[in-house]
Amino acid sequence: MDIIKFGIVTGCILLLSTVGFSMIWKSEKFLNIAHGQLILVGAYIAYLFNVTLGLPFAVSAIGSVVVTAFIGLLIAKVFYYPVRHQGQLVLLFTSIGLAYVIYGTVQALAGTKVKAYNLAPTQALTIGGKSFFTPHEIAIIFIAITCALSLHIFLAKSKSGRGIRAMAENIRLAQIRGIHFSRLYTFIWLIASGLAGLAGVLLAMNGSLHTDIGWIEILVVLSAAVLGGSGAIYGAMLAALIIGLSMDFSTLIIPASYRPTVAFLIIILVLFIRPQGLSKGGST
Amino acid sequence: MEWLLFIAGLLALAGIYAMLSLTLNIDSGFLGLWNLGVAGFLAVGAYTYTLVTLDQPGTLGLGMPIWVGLLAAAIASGVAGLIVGLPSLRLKKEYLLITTFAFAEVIRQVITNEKWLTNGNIGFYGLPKPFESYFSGINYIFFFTVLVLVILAIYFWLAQRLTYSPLGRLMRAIRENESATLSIGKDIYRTKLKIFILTNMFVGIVGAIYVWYSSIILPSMFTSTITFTVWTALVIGGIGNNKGAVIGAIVLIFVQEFTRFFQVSPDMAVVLASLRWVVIGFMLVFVLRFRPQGILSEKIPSVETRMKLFNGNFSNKGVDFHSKSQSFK
Repeated sequence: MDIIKFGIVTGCILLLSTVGFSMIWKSEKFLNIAHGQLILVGAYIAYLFNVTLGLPFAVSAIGSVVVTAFIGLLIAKVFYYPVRHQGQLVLLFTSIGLAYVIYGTVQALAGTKVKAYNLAPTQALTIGGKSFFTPHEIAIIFIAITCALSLHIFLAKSKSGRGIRAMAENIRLAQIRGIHFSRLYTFIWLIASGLAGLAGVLLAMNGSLHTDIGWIEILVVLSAAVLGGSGAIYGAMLAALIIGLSMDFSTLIIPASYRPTVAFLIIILVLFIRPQGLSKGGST
Repeated sequence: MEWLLFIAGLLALAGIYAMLSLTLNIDSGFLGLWNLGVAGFLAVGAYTYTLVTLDQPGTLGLGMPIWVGLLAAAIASGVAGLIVGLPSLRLKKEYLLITTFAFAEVIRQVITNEKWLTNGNIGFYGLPKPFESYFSGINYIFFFTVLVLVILAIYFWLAQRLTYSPLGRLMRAIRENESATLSIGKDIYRTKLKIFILTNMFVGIVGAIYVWYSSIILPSMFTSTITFTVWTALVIGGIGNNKGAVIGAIVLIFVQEFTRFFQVSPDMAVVLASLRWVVIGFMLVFVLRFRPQGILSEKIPSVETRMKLFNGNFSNKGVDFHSKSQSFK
């Protein structure tokens, strides 16, 4: 029971980090390794607001999401847009370089010690004598579901959302049909970075806050994105839950320190059996 | 004398990185395989070598001679290459990248957790170096640097031979246009797998040299940082150019290790170590932005230079006309 519980929470956080990564993969056509470091930035900005400045946690979390979203957009505008025409590999390695820049900056400012948010300790709710989720875990699941749903409504119903999907499928055609793509790219980067920031806050809230969380998370994000199908957004959501659950279920059989190994095995299996991933033809 | 020692040590390290960067250049520069798992294959080679040659009581070391260790390291890394390459080389480039990246992390977790085999985070200390008994103290460091540079020279010669052989031409053809290469009856998957296994065998041997250099072995020596440092070296030097790969590694290691000159308090040391990441990261970003072909760009020998139709005066300008657009496809 506990395992299902942990698995769902892990999966929900992973969902938030993967969706943004997949959106970038689908629309900008490159693997944004620096996405993991935006998760780190989100977690530490919340720490800055919450502990250093002493703001309430909810305010810090929201503030962190907004700031991270704009940091992500700024990074994209300054560093990614100018090298877009040089192709995938240049973008990919620019993102690796930026991942190092962000990682080094955060570490230089915050130090390498493990930190924790100023959160009131909570008791797990009990239902019928059995321990149920803690309020924090319920909050994480609730936030993840809300974000997934609102992203779905945004993509399916709003004009911009439809534009983003059209652009991901065929950018030339979308341009001809009069889609204002530079504004949509701004949306994409804001949403993806904001979600990364949110995932960082929840990750640090659920576990511990240290400077390596970005590198650890990006690996799992990569496997969830592959399982979901290259850049498929709904596929990524489902894949994140599957990987979160299977990572925690694996602790029944193998030592807990091997959790990320499970993600790797899933990648290998997916590549052997169904390289296009979960979704049909990898489309959104 | 002290700074001479420092330079010698640095040169040895730069030599090791240059070997890795050369190998990566064959993989990624000439064949277009994006390998983000260098650290993993290096770890497989290094640990295999250590376990085969280690002669300490209380460990699982076999105490075999050095050459057996080198052979075992090459084979182990080659097999690892086969396992990773088999599923991922058939697919799009990105998938190899993801698989190798994840592979490197998994290997690091395995060597951290399997304490009965690798002694976990404590690792092994005081590992022997080759020909150590023939030299006294300081002299050995100079000898070792020369040894590394000689191996690098041989390695460079082999890499040049490979990349400018018919097989090297086939590799470039695959990189440029897979369908066209397929249409003239070449087996792309087999070629990729062959080269991938071969280069990873080299990486395994470099793993053994890396162990000689540090004389200890720990899981923390094999983080993905190594992979990214090697990639940065290659990008700075020039993808697709063997000389560039070597120069890039030497430049990068000297820039990176230069900060060790400063004497600072422990608190500042963390900041300084972190700022080193920032410097490397920005180097990578700015080289890609302003000089994506690196210090030396790829030079494709034209038929004219091969046949020596133009004596001497044939400048490089005419030869590398399409290198910029090609390096990053």
